[in-house]
Amino acid sequence: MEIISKINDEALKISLVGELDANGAINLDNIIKKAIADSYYNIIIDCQQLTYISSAGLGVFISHIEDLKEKQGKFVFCNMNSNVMNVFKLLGLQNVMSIADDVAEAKKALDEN
Amino acid sequence: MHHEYRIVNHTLRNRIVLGGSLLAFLLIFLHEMAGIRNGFSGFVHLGDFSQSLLLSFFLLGSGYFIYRLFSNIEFFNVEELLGYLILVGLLTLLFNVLPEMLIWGGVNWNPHGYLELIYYSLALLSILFYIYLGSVLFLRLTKVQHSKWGRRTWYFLLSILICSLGFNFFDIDPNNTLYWIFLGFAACALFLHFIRLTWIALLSSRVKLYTIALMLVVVLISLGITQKLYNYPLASYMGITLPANTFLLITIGFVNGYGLFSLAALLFNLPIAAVMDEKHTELEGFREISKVIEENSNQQEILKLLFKRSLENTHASGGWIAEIDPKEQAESILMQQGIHDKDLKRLYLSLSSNRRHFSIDVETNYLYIKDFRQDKFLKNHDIQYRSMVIFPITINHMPIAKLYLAKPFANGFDEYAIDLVLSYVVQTKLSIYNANLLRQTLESERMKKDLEIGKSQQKRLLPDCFPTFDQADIAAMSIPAEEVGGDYYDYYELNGNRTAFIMADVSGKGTLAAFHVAEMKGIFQSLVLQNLEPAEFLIKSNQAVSRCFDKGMFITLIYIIFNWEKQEAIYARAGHCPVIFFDKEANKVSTLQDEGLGLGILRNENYDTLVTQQRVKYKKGDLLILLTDGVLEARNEKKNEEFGMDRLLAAVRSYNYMPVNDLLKTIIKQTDQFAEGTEKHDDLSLLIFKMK
Repeated sequence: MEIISKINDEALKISLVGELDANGAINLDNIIKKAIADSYYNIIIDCQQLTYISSAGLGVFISHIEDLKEKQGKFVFCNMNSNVMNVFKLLGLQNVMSIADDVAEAKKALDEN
Repeated sequence: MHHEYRIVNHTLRNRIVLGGSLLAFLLIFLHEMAGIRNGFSGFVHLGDFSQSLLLSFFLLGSGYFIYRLFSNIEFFNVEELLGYLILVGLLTLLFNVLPEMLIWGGVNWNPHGYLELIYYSLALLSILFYIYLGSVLFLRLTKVQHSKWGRRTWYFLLSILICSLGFNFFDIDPNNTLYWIFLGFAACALFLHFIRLTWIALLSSRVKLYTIALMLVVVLISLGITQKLYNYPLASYMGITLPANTFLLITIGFVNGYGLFSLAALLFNLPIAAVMDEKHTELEGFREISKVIEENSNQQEILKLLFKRSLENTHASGGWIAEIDPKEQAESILMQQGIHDKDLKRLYLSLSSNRRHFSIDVETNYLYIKDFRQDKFLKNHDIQYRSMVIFPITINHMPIAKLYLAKPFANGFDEYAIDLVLSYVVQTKLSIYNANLLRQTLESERMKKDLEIGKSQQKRLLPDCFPTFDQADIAAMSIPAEEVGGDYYDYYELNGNRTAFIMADVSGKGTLAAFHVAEMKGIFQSLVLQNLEPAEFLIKSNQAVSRCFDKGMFITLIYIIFNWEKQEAIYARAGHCPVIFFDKEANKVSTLQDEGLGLGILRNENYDTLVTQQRVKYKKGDLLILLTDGVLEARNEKKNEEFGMDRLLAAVRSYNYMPVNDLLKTIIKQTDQFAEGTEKHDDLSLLIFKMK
């Protein structure tokens, strides 16, 4: 499941809770689509309570990279546990998505844009 | 053969018995004849004992013969059985009243001596035949519904009959109490048979009237013949007063008694029969409604059947059944009978405008309007009906239809009728539910078949086996998590004594991933012809994948080229599980370190800069292992742990000495054992190279 909170007029924070499986991925996709439609192009993904992410879940983020990039926005992931971090590093996602330690750093990373 | 032999034996035995008893009779007959010649009028002493013996043998033997003969003949029904008995009875009666008839006809027939003896012997035989036949046939009727008590009562009667033959040997004093006690027992045995009248209940009411007539005739004939026997001129035939003969007394008692009891029971049964018939049609209604499932009927047909049967069996004069559209909650009439359209419309209007008043109680499942004239919303209707019951039909809390039944008088439906329709409704719901289920099952079976086809097709995408390479032993296996999966491996022999291998993992699993595997195979098979270096292969693959794959789908892969001569391999890893390398000499196992992004993530030239290529040298005995993350992600739910890379590396180190096939099986067994039955989470593939 996901908890959405607004950071400012351009940035959004989505906290992921539990496992992100195929069904959850569909839900998440809708949320991100809506966020983009509402002109939020900087999205922080808080993985503090995320235990597992499936390839479907990864696919959701991957599919929206270009959408955000077009509007000079991006995803920033933070508070990832070792499992999730491993998955990211193995896939090589650190090259296409920003990873921060915590939410504060993530916000800074957004400002760098 | 054995079976035939037994039957022959039976008939042979029967014939012997028949022959024997007829012989006995013949002897008595001849004895009587001798007596006549000698001037006696028939009372001849053969010697009491022998005479009694002959008589007993004759009675028992002929009885047995007729019993065996008629016990097994097939009668289609009771009418046929009674008809047969009547025929024999009439013939017997006719034969026995021949003298009277002739006298009445003006012929002065007064037989003497031999002629008299012959005639009355034949008459006696015919009477005996009728009495035996009647007994045997009625006995069959008592056996219509078998029970263990039935057998016991029959054995009781049989033993009484056999004992009664004993009285042939003595002169009976009518005041002998012992004799009357015996007769009392006989009466009991007979009575126990008289009450076995189950066959009457099984007759349908149409047949019952006909059967009453037949049974009446049988009773009259039996009484007539009995009367003839008791007025038998040669009453002292065979030295024993024949009618008083206890054996005959009991059998005659049986025939007449059972006939009378049956007649009475038939008459008393008539009103019950009408009710039984109704029950029968009601049951038929049930059977019909449940049978429709076999005939692959649809919902509408089942509902129409419900309407027809309910209308019939409640004797309602009119009504209709309406289907309810689940979305619009509107009723559309499926079938109506006995009611005018305009009346129907007016009723609907009243019912729907006053929903609260006409709501149907969830607990009772129906609405009973007992009298229209007493109902404030319906009393002004000038309509031919005065009482109505409404039954809703819901499946899974969704209303699908409503049944309306009406009668032209008030309080037209009793509790019984309403219960009946409610039972029909339950059966209907079941039938509709089952019919839907059946349809869904058939569809799902078809889809399963399609998946099976997909599975076998996908197997064709992976190589069956690898050719034997001089420089390496290879073992490979791929196990999808579902019927079809997203893993792929393949090989291609390049020039210069080199072979290219690919191991890939499409994101996701199931049918969608499997389709993309086919696409990847196409990409591999064409790109490999271009003899590219691994890095270049990845770059071009990314371009292809970016064009072909759905948005959000990506693929990880390793592309490795073995140069057998140089004993080295070059490879590039695109986001895939790292290669495992076992150094035999150093006895060390490790994962090769490298960088690389999966394909289909960066769908432009920015991807190219992220590709790296590595070289690894190997020696004899070294192991190189490609895998997909299904191996690592084998999960034990109880411990909430994954198999993980560490365990895999440990296993490789421990079992490195094994031949590749055994090593492969061992690793997979270890992951299974670790999972302890937890369902497979991801597709699993392994490709092991043991360098020679």
